[in-house]
Amino acid sequence: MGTSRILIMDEVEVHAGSAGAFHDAYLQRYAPGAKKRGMTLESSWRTPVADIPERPATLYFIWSVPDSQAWWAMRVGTDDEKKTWWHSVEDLILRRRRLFLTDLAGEAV
Amino acid sequence: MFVAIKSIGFAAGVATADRRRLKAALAATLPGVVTSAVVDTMPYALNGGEFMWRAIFPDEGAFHDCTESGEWRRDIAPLLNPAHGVRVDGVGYEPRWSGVRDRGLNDGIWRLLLISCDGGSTLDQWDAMERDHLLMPGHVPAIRNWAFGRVQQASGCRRWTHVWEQEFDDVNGLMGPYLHHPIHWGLVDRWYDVECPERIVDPWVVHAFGKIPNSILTPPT
Repeated sequence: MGTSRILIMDEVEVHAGSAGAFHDAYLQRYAPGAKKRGMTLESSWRTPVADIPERPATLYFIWSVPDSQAWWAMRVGTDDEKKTWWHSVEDLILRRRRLFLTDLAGEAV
Repeated sequence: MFVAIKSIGFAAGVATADRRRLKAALAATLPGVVTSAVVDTMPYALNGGEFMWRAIFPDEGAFHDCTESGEWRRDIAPLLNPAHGVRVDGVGYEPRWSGVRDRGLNDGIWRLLLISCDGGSTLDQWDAMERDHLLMPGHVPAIRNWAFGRVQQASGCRRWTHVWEQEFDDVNGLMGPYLHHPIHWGLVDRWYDVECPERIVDPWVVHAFGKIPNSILTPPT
């Protein structure tokens, strides 16, 4: 299909005071498995921009895979491991989304 | 039009002769059948069996009459008994949606997907999931003919809720343009992916495909 780089974004809104705990858990317990599945962590962000423990925060983690072959390689298998991970952090999360993104046509990567 | 489908597999101990007898009995002209086909399941299926049977009946009642017929009771039912090492995933449905691009398809591929939506999923979620699937035929010309709908009768290892069938010119159409289309991995797959909050489809699916001499999805004219 000629698909180029695919971005995978986890947008996770966490309860007040839980940003640090979720961030640590994500990097320590989720990221190693994702990297084994061929995903590259491109960047991570947060909003609000300052740590305000009294308020919820939204964390963004952007991953990439080089093409749709690599997308399927990270997608297939290890369902139990993935389910266990997301279940383990349910109590920290208010809501979340996983978005798939591609570069706009003609935009240099 | 009512479509009955069975994906049939066998435990290692089931005699080759019994497998052949069942296959031949299903391939025979059964009461009430408009058209039918028996298709060998190709490698790389997920939870597929050894072969699949697909039959078109005028309506659900005709299918019921067929399974109550002497031929079925004598030649087929005993060989479908799970106690004898036979594993059957079966559905009956009326395709709510379908499309024909190539009624004269020759030497193609039929692909069967049986899925089971979670018991707690809502009809609104089903509608949204179905709408995403229905985008695919329009965007993937490799899908030559297709049918999709909600299951009316289900048996096997899951309470199957939907059937999604397509025909392709060859297996490359399935493994290439279909599998790798952005609508597939970027939109439709969210309903299946345990990492996506939208997921409502049980990860255990029957995904099977096999060679067909001509189209089996397009109803006779």
